[in-house]
Order: sequence, then structure tokens, then C-alpha cells
Amino acid sequence: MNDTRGSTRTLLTDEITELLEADDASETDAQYVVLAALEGADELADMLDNSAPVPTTETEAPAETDTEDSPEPSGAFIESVTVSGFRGIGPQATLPLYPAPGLTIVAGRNGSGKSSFSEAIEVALTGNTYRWNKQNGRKAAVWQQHWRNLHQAEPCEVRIGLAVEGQGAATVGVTWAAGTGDLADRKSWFQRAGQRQEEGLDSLGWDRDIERYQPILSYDELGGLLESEPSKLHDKINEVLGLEQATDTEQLLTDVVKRLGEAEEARKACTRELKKQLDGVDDERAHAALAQLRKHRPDVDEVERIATGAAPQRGIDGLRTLAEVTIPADDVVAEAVGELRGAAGAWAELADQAATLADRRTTLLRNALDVHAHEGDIECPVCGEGTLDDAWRQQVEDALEAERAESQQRRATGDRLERARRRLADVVDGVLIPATPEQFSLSTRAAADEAVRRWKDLPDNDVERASHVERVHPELAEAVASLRDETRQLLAEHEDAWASHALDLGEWVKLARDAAAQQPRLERAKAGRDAMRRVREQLRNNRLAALEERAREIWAALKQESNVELGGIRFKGRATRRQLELYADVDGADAEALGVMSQGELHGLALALFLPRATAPASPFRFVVLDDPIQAMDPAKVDSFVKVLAGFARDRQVVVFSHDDRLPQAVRQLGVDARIVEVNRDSESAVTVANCEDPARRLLDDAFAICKDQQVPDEVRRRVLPGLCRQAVEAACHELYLNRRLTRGDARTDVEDGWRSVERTKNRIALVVEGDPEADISGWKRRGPGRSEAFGLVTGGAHGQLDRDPLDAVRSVENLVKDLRSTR
Amino acid sequence: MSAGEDAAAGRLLAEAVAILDGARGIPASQVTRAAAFVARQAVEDRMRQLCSDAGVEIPRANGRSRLIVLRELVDADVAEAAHTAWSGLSRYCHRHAFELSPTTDEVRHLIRRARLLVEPSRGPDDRPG
Repeated sequence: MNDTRGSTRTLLTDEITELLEADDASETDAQYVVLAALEGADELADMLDNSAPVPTTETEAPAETDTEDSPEPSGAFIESVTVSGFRGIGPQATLPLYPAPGLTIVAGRNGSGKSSFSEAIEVALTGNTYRWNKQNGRKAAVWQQHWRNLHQAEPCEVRIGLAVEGQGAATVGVTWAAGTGDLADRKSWFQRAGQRQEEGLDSLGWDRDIERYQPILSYDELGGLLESEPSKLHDKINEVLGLEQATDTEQLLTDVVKRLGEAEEARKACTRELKKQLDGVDDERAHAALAQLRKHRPDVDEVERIATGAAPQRGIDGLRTLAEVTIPADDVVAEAVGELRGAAGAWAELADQAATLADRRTTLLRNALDVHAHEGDIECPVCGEGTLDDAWRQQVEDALEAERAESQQRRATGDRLERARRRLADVVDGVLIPATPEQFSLSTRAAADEAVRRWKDLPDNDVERASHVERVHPELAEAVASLRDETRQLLAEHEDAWASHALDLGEWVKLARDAAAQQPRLERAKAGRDAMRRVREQLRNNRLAALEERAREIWAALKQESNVELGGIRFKGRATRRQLELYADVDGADAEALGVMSQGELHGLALALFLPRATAPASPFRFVVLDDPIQAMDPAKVDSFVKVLAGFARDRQVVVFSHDDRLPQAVRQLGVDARIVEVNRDSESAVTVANCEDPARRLLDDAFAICKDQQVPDEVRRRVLPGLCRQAVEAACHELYLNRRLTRGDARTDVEDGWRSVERTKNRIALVVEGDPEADISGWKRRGPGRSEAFGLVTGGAHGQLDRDPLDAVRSVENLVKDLRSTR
Repeated sequence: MSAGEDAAAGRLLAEAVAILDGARGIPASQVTRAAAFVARQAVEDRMRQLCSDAGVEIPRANGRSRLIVLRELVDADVAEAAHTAWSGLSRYCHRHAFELSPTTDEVRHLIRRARLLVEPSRGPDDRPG
């Protein structure tokens, strides 16, 4: 049965594909998305994960299309209903049905066990019944407590024999374990002929179809159908239009859109939260982040940099630098100071003047050596007394050599002093305290600045300078340390405050990235959903028009004399406000159908709507079971209702349970090809089912049976037979009278009243024989053999005992019935 | 009051209950009607007896006339019980438009009413059968 569903699905897929292609409003990509969604959730996910395919060809029909299949799936007929220990049925009773198209009327008074059969069908096939569904009111609670038969509660079992086209016989059953008092504690099973029993009904694949087509409708339920919430009526009719796949696909797309949109929703929620949170936070990073969050499209990377501290922030960065500020260490200062002192001391030891004179003398002597080198031995041009000769030259060169060495030492001492000065200057100048960022104020800053100023205020004298540095350095160190500590503390406070914001921003960044990643999918899914929605509405309008047509036909048959015409059926509203609007045309004026119809008309309308649904072509059920559909129906409509049923019975198995004899009679009168059975229940809940096409014949057959049955005590026989015989004669009279007047075109209500006004058997016979209940029929009585005796028996005998041979008496009554039937 | 007649009516009622209980071999589809016939005969016997006790001998009169006699000459409560039982049971002895066979519960209820008439000493809650 699953395969048949597959074929109807495929047909719908084809229809959807066609409508999609004709849908100008949707892009090609949206159509691809819809087609993928039609195949299933996984396919849709694949389609959304991958970039849109390049449209290549126009042929894009789904692969599994198999248009060879019949559009109408093979379906199931009910072959029998066997019930024991359930509801009104005690010992096992079977309602045999013909598993083929045709009309069967199951008649039985309320309490006869008739409805127990229909409930059994419902329970076995749906696992539920309208009557025990608590949603449907108080009665359900009572039902729930009384599902087991009071007289014979065990075994408690229902078996539905099925005949499935193309598959053969099968049985669906429900069994309650002995002793269980819990309705839900039951076992459902299914068994194909010659195969093993399977637990549950899953392999039938009916779970959804049974709800969708609702082939079992009870009077209570019919009444409830139109009175239920507008959205429920909407859904029920919507379902029957066979749009489940379209609806499912739209729902799938809607769900996917919702799921894909969750990331963006989360991002938005997080943005709102963060905006509130950051507003008023005195931190430039908060300001920067807020500025981003307020943008229509925030720069996610920038927010991340802000959160992680990677983005330059003047104030905080300045504070960080300040927190790391250092001054030269003690040993560095001590070394520089010591060196300056050492160099200055060494320098002071050399006579400055002497050094200068020696330099001049050396210059003079070098010049003299130069003269000697050019002029040779000559008198000294300076003093005129000596001679510049080799000995002099040698002496001078030795002296000069010694002096050069002295001079070099002096220069080195000078250089050392210079270096010592520079080194100390570097140490002093190296102390630089960066500016405090303007948004912060530090109480120790002024003292630190003052210390630095004093530190750099150096005396000129080397020795004093060294002492100055040595003296001021500890003060400076202390001031700067205080500044650094204060800055660090301030920084720590800020970082602590920021850390949680930074984490939240990090979370936001993650959400924003997720949302961005889903965005392309989301856009495509939205386009697909919108396309599917348009297609589904189009599809629905097409299907609804067809259903409306059928419903109108049925309504036309059922309404007969009502002045209410069924107008349009329209779906209105969406989501929780969805409803089905039924329009009526009352004597040419438009009205809401539900408002102008009587209870009986509403039942007719419900039937008009739900019979086409129950017999929809795609349904796997070839049967439709109606439990007392016409309780509130105008008797005048019974005939046309029977005709409607007969129409459905041409290609469906129509089983109608009826609490009174109206339907059976209408069937007999109209000559509709139908089977009538009567259900009876005895005091121990033993339920019997008997054919009842001809009630008079049936009564006579039973009368004969009583004559022949030796188990029946003679007194009982003699007391009971007159009554049965009278019933048989009256049944024949009733049928004749109805036939005669109805074929004359009289209204059924008038005919019923006519019968009711004649109470006595004698007058009823006169009514049939002479057309007048008061007519004298003594002549007629005498004409046939045994007629007079039979007449006496059925008119007076019912009040006493039969004093003739029972078999003879019943035979004479049988003849009387024959005679009555031959009158015209 | 004739003890024999009362006993006969009571026996008939018991017989009706036996039929209803399926103890008399009547076909299932006729059980309720058959029980109704027999029970009605019991009621009619009793009504005839009550009229006779009241000094009214009307052997050919119909049930309705007897009910009137009972109400006027015997006792309004007795007449009431007789009326519900007799007319209810009579319903099942004729063919009515669109009515199917009565159910056992319906007939049992009427037999209970009839028992009030036939055996007035028994309380209404004593279920026959």
C-alpha cells in the first residue's frame, strides 16, 4: 500500500513542478530549492549547502516519476467485522460484509450492538475512535470506562477482515489482554493471508491516510465537524484536497527558514542585549564596540579586534605604557656616577697648563727637526748658540718620543672624562615618563614629574653632578614606582571591568559569523518557501473547485426543499486565524452557511463535505462507514440521501449503520440494489446479525422456525406466534402502503403520518386492500382459502393463545401476505 | 381477587423474561418482540382480572376501555402502571413507521413496570429474572 501512496505523491510532484514552472514570480534557484524540498529534508539540506546549480536543461522532473501507474491506488474493502467482549457485544459476533463496491445498510435500534461494530472498525483501523477521544467532550470519559462488555468481558477482541485489491485477504485486529482495565493497553496487529502476524499497523501505511480521508464517520462526529474550531474544519478540508505533500513541503521549507534564521535571530537578540549592556560603560572600547553595533552592518572583524584588544585604543594603550615605565637601575646609576667621579679625578691630576706648554715645545722641536732634515747641520735658529746636528737630533727625537707618550695619556684621560659625562647624561636623559592619557588622572603624576625635573636639573661641575644624580635617584625611583603602581591598579580595574564585556563581544562575533554563514542558505530557502506557498495556494484553489462541485451536487440532493443553496467554499486567513468559509445562497441572498442552516441541514452539509473527502480517489480505502448519518435528517431527504449513497456505492463499499427503519425502507422502495442486515442483541449481549431485505418474509421465516423448534415450549409458541404473524402482515401492509403512496409522488412525511394515524391491524389491512382504513373488507376476507382464519389470528389472536395447529396457522398467514401483495 | 389468575399473569411474565433471556429457543431476531407479546398478554390478563374484581365484566372491550375502568373504579396508581406497561408493550406488537425491533433493555424495562401491576407487593427495584 506504500507503493500506491508513492505514485499519488509523484503525481502531485508533477503537478507542483508544472505550477512552479508557470510561476513567474519565482527565480530558477527557488524552483530548484522547492524541487529538492519535495524529495525530502536531506535533499533540501544538500541543495542549500551547495551553491545553486547552473540551470542546464528544462527537463527537471523528479527521477522516480512513474506515470504508468494508475492514478487511483489499489484499495481495501471490508470483508467482515468480528467482535467479542467489546462495548455492546459479548460473545463473539460477526457482521459479514461483501468486500466489493455496493451499499449495505446495517439496521439496529440504539443499544442493539450496531454501533459497537462501527466502533470496532474504527478502533481496529485507527487505533482510536471519535467517541473515546477526550477532546470531544464529556461522553468520551464515560466511553473510556465502558469499552469492555459488561456481560462477557473476555476475550476482548476485534478482527476486521479485509480484501485488498491486488494483494488478497488480510486481517487487522485489536486484542486486549485478559484482565486489563486499561483501554490503551491493547495490541494491534495485522496479518496478510498465509503470512505471519505483524504487530502494529505500520506495514499497512495507513496511519496518516485514515485521518486524512476519515472513511469512518459517525453521527456525533458529523455534528462536531462543522462545530469544531474554524481552524480544524479548515485543516480537515485542506487535508482531503490531497495537498499534504505540498503542505509538508511548505512546512519543511518554513521550518528550514526558521532554523536557518535562528542564527540571525540569536545575533539580533545578542546585539540588543549588548547595546543595553555597553551603553554607559566608561571605556573607549565599549564606545567603539557600541558604534559598530549601532551600524546596520557592523564590521564583525573590527568588533573582534576590539574585543580581543587587537584594535589600537589610545587611552588604554597609553596607560599600559605608563604602567611599564622604568628608570635606570641602581647599579647602572652607581656605575655611571662612579665612572664620572673616577674620570674627573684622573683629569684633575694632570696639570693643565704644563700639558699645554709641553705641547708648544714639542711643536717647536718638531719644526726644528724638520729644518734639520732639510738643511742639515746648522746653528740653532732660535737660540743661536747651539748646533742642530745629529746628536741634537737624536736627543730631541728621544725626548719627543717620551713626551708623545705623556701626551697620549693625557688625551686618553680627557676622552675618558668625556665618555663618563656622556654616559651619565644618557642615564639622566633616559628617564622619560609618557604622558597620562587625557581621560585618566593619576594622583602620583605631579610628584613623579617634579622628581624628573629635579633629576634633570644637573650642576655643571662633574663631581657635583655625580653627587646630584646619586642623591636624586632614590627619590626619582620612589616617585616613578608610585606612579607605576597607581597606573597599574587603574589599568587592572579597567581590564577587569572590560573582560566580561570582551567575552560577550566575542560571543556576539561568533553569532554574527554563524548568521553570516547561514545568510545565503536562508535567502535561498526563503525564496523557495515563498515559491512553494504560491504554488500550494494555486494547487489548493484548483482542488477546492473540484470538491466544491461534488459537495454542491450532494447538497443539492440532500437539501431537497431547503431554500439554502450551497455557495462557495473558501479558505480564509493564515496560521491560527485560518478557517473554512462556507457560503450559502438563501433565496438569492448571500449568507454564511453555518449561520442559516438547521441542525439537520448542518448534518447534510457535513456529509456533503465529508463524503467526497472519504471517497477521494487517492484514498487507499474503498469503503466508507457511516454510523447513523441521518438521525436529525428531515425524513423527506431520506430518499435522496439513499440515492446519493447508491451513487457512491457504484465504486465504493458503502456501509451505513442506521438506528431506525427509514433507510432500509427507502432502499426497498427505491429498488436500490443494496443489502440490508438487522442487528439484534439479547440480554447477555449476544449479538446476532440477520439479513433483512424483506421484513415480512423474515418474520414469517422466524415464525416457521418457532413452529418447528422442539426447544420452544408449546405455550410460548402459541402465545408468541400470533404476534409474529401480526407483525409480518403489518410489515407487508406498511411496505405496500408506502410503495403505493410514494410512487404516487406523495411526500414521505405525509405518508408516514398516514400510516401512523391507522393503528389497528384490521384497519391497516383495509387501508391496503381498499385504500381506506374504515372500508368493509369482509368480502375480501372470505374470498381466499384460510384467509378468514389468518385474518382472525392477526387481528385478535395476538391477545391470547393460538388454538390451532401452529404450522397451519403460519402457512395461512403466509398466504394472507401473498394475497395482500398481489392486491393493487 | 382470584389467586389463580394472578398466578397465571405472574407465570406469563416470568415466561416473557425467560424468552428475553434466550431460554425458550426463540430466534434471536424475534426474542424481544416475542417477549413483548407474552408480557402484554400477562398485563391484559391482569387488567381483565382487576376489572372483574371491580365488578365490571367486559370480555369484548379493548385495552383502552379497560384502562379507563381501572382509573375510574380501581386505583389511579394501578391504572398508571397498567397504562405504561400495556401501551409500551403494545407498541412492539404493531408495525410502526421506521421502528426496528425493540432492544432487550427496552422490553425488560416494560416487564418491570408490568410486574408492579401483576405483583404489587413486590418493590419496584426487584428486578424480574
